[in-house]
Amino acid sequence: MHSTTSALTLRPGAINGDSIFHRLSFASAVLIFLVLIGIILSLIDGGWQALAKFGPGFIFSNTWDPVGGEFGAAAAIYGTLVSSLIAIVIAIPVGLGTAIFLAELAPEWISKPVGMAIELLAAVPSIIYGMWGLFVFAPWFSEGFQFWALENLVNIPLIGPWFDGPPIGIGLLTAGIILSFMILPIITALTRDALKTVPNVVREAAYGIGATPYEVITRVLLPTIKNAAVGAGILGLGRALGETMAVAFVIGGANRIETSLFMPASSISSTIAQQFNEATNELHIASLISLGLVLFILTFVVMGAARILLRKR
Amino acid sequence: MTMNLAIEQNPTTQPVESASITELSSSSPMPRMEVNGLNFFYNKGAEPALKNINMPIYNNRVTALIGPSGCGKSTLLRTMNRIYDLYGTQHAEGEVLLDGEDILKSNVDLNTLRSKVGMVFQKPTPFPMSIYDNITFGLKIQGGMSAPQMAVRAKKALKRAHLWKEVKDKLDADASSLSGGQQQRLCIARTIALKPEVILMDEPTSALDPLATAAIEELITELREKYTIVIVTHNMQQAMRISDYTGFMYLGELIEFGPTDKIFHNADNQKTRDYIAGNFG
Repeated sequence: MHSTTSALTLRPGAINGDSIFHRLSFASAVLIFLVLIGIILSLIDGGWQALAKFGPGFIFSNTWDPVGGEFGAAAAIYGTLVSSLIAIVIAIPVGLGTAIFLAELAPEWISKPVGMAIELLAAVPSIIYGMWGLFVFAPWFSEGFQFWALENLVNIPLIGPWFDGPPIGIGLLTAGIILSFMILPIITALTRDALKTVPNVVREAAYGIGATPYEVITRVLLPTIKNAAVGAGILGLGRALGETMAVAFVIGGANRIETSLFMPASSISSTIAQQFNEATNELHIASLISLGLVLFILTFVVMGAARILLRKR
Repeated sequence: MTMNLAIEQNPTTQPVESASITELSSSSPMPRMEVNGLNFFYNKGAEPALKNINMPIYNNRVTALIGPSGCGKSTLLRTMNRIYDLYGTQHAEGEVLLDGEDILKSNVDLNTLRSKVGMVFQKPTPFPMSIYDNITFGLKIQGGMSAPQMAVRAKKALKRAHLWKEVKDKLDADASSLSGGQQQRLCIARTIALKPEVILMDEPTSALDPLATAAIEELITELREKYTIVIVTHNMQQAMRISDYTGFMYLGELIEFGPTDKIFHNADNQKTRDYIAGNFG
């Protein structure tokens, strides 16, 4: 009896691998948390001068005048939200359609290579999208869609004014379209994976009742993966909100709010990227950092919403 | 026409137990479906999973398919509504007749076929919608019914599946909120709402507890009045309790087919007798 107990008890001072492992992993977890807090605090600290001076007006004013020392984020927030919205409006239906095709309709010899191509598309660095957008897409978009829109869409009530602007290729709409290309892979891949997790017996039950593929997909499969699909859209939105390089190339860099989507605009991240090395006075720098804080909060809220939706599944 | 026949028949009539198959098929129960020389392949060029199956499915009778795992009983069931067609590599050769028409032909309208030959699966498969919508889903697809007509049909189907009392106050509730046994009865109600001719059941009680199983078995016995039922089961007591005919399958072949009583008590084939006695499988 005595000998068994002593064999089970650790020698005093013995190195316990488990407790070291436990402490190391705990430290990593705490580190992440500290980094997060640190970023938030330094954003608040760095931007404090601007936040204190402009108060809530920082968010609502669209004057961005580095010479006169007046800074407001409204135009950049508008540009960020609208370009992301355009991206989502394009990417969700296309992504959903692609995912449905790949998971439900395409034979394997198509779905495998296309699926792989989509995963590769997700790995393309954003600067490539930006460059491609500026040098290849923008001229083509200007000559093609924009001229056509100026002739055909401008006179339509309500949506006409969106397309009333100079056909210069770059601008808010171009930025939104390039963003949609960027977030398409993640939306497609997540939705396709969600469709693949639906057990085959659910499909068989629906087909077994005499439903057509269209009815099975729209009435049974999509409602089944609804939360995952919404989550995929929000993750895409989160990426679009924060995307910098691809947008900076094609958005035009003009700090204003216009009805026309053809007009150059700016986004939060593109403004920061374009102005940071030119910012000389403290207030300008503080304003750019505050802009960063606004983007951080915006993205945080969106990603939080995605988390909650994904968990509900 | 067949529907009328079904109603006139006395539901408690048991098939003549001493009669041989040939006598039976020429006397009272009519074959509703016939499987003739059926071979089934999961992949092109692979070994057949079903080898030269020949069997009748009698009208208004319960036919059980038994046999050890992997013997092909589910595969055989899945040819009867061509659900295997969802998977491109699988194909069947031979004939499966429904009311004399070969359903394996490429010009068969699968949606119509599947509304005539309903299927209930091993696991309950409620659709992600309300209880009521689950029942009317197939009716809406078929079309041609007004909302009040559908409501009547849905109520009848739920009553017939002995689910009405339990769900009548929560028809708008999500179907996934029901218990497993209730979900399975919902799936049966969903199938019978379409007024199929044949109902295929693939181990419908294997995921259920004994009470829910008993409820489903009772239901199957009642449904025989109106429908022709084919059930795959690995529970031999269940086959004995609820079926009129039994087919014993082994390694992709139909070893023996006959009245359930004969298969269980006086089988011709030694393998059948061994399996029934629990000597293998």
